[in-house]
Amino acid sequence: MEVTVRPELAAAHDRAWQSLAEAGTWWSARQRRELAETAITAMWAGPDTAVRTREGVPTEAPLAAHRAVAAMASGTPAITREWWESTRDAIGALEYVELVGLVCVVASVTSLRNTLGMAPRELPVASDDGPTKVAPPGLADATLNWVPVAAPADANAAVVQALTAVPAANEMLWSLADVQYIPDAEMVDPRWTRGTLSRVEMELVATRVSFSRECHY
Amino acid sequence: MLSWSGKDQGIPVDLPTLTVGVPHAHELLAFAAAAASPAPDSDALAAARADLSAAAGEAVMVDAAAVVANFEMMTRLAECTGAVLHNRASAIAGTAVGADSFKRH
Repeated sequence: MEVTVRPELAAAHDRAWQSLAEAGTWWSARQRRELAETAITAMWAGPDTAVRTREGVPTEAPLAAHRAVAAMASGTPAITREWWESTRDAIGALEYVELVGLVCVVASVTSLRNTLGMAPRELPVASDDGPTKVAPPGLADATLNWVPVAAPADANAAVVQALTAVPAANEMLWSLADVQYIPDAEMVDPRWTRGTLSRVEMELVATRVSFSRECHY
Repeated sequence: MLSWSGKDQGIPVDLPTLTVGVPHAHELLAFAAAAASPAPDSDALAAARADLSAAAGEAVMVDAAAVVANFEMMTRLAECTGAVLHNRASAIAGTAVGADSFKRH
């Protein structure tokens, strides 16, 4: 089935997909591509299948990072505060935040293609670039999230501040949300529409997906 | 998010009755349920895609798929960063839609 995807949505997904094989702030291009591959497998085939292929073989990223993205993508094992603390201790807090952003991109792009009946997309070839290691602005511990956030903490909703400790990941997330859901500037207007779905229809779909995903937030 | 917008604009939004009077609510709900990960039934998803396109048009179906993608993303964002609701009004809205029965982290 061939469908027409809005140009700005297609462009945002192209950019996000390309980013999976580019150097991040705390992970190299090769590591990010490898971890994205694990996340894709985990999301659609489960974490065991995804991690098994990484065990006992040389990998660019540490096995703890592969286990982390497999859990994030699949929801198994359950993401608890204890699991986050253990994973943070194994790979680092900012490295963890960047991986949340990576899994968010994987979830968006693969979900859209699957939902529209489009063939899975090949990951781009990774460059040799290493992480930029650009230090974030001042960080703070938050009460609304487990992860560290850009200071001042808790000035915005939990999902808004969630990735602010890694600005590049945060920018990518919200650029996707703008074209998939509602542009940030229009969020306050419950009558806003793109000309297709009304705001209430969007919320209906969002609520049903969140229910299936057992998301309390 | 809709409940926050409604409050900001002074427009009441009754979340438990969201489907009342919503065009194509049945097709939208079936589509979202079939599309949500993990491992959706491809036949059910294809049928839901066709039903929604027939009822509302392909552009609506594509934008509904984009909303599905967005909440496949946002639910993972919330879950993986330990996000909690930031105020009492949001917590009440969550209770109103039965979110308290979802798993706790």
